[in-house]
Amino acid sequence: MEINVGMDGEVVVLDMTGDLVASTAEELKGQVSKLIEKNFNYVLLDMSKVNFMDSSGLGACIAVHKTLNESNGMFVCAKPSETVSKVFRVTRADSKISIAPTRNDGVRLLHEKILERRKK
Amino acid sequence: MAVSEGKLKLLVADDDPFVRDMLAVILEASGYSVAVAEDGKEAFDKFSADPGTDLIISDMNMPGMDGLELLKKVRESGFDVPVIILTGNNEISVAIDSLKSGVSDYLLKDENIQEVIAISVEKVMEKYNLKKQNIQLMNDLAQNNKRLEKEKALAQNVQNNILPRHLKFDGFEIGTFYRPSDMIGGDFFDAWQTQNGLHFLIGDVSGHSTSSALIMAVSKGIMQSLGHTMGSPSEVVEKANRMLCDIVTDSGMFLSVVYGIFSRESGSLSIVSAGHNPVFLIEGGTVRTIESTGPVIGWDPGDCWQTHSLGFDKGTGLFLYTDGLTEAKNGFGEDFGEERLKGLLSGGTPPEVIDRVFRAVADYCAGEFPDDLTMFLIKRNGNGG
Repeated sequence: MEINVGMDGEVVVLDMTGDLVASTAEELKGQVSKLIEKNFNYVLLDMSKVNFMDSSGLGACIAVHKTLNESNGMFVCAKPSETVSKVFRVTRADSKISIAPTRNDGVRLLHEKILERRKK
Repeated sequence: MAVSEGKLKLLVADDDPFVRDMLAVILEASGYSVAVAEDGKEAFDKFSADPGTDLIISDMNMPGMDGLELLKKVRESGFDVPVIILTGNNEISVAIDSLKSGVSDYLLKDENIQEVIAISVEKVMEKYNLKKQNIQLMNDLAQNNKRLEKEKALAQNVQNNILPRHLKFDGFEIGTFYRPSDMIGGDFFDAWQTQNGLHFLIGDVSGHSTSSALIMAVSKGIMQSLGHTMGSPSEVVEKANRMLCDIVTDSGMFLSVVYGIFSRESGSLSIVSAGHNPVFLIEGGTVRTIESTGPVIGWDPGDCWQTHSLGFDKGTGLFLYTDGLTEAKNGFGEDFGEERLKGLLSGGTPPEVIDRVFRAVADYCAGEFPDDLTMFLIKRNGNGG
């Protein structure tokens, strides 16, 4: 598995390639912890190149979602494959984690959230 | 010669007194403790008297017992002490023979010997110590693995005792199947009777690690004790969720659960599915799919679940399972899937159905089960009305 980190405006984009499973879940969690330490709290996970996600992988998404929410940030998953979408759907994780159909939609969603919070 | 503490002990064997003494002086100056011998036999006797020798430096050609014979005798006595062979002969075949016999290094007795001997000793000892450390580490690792396997076997016993062996209730027949992917797993199931009805549950904790097994044990305990005092599945699941959120915190661990209660009074079934894969209601030849009614447990203490209320007439069955079943894969990486499973559920007693499903899935994935696999089928006795 590989995670490339990039920026799109104020949003951190994690570009992930490979399976999101027990052996790779910690890497995702660790990556996001490092981002939070540096005050990057709006994170998009581009899942277009993730073929498979098991329960430990979903657990990593849940943990990341929780920690970003606690730091007043937001986590969005973009473009999951049909197999990955099914895991989000069955576990009802899609009722909590925002799932965007494309990377651009996800980035837009995060920017809207940033603006909305600034206005308050 | 008194051996100073902490110094490495070397034994130098050479029939040439000049070479022997020169080497002793050089090596003692380099911080080693050195014993000397005039030939192979004396060297072997001295070594036998003090097998704590760390390294032998021996001339190849000596009267009586030569260097290679000395090496052979030392090895035959069961010692792997490193040996450096010295020779005036610069024929390559002699060097090859020595190295083949297990010599650690081979040095020519020329004008450079004074410079190279200490370097050679240092290198040989470094290599030998690394080898020894490596063996020690491998032994430690093997021992640790053995201990872990033993611990796991104990945990497996405990876990097997947590799961019920025989489930028998008036008016019902139940079939179960449980197979963790490793010795311990995160799946669980149970059923018990209370005043307000027959309770049953199936659960799947994320991951297959020891922590999954711990959460499995805690979750089952919590739900079972809540189930003895609470009358609706949503109450049990919501309260269990609040307790388990405190336990899993932000580890990312969670569990999916189906919790059902059959009311004998009304003859109906109430079910909550917390992010669990679809379960199937078997009514004669028809199989109905029941989807989850809320998120997984362990995410947010404020989460709520809806309840499915279903008629559960005589002859009706409910098939619960964990995703190790439908996600078992064939050689092309394709899932066994829900449709294939649904096709196998009608007809037969619960143990027969479970046996049929297991044979089909084991055949499909050629016995390769990377995930825990649990099945639970509860059927109300009698013919459908």
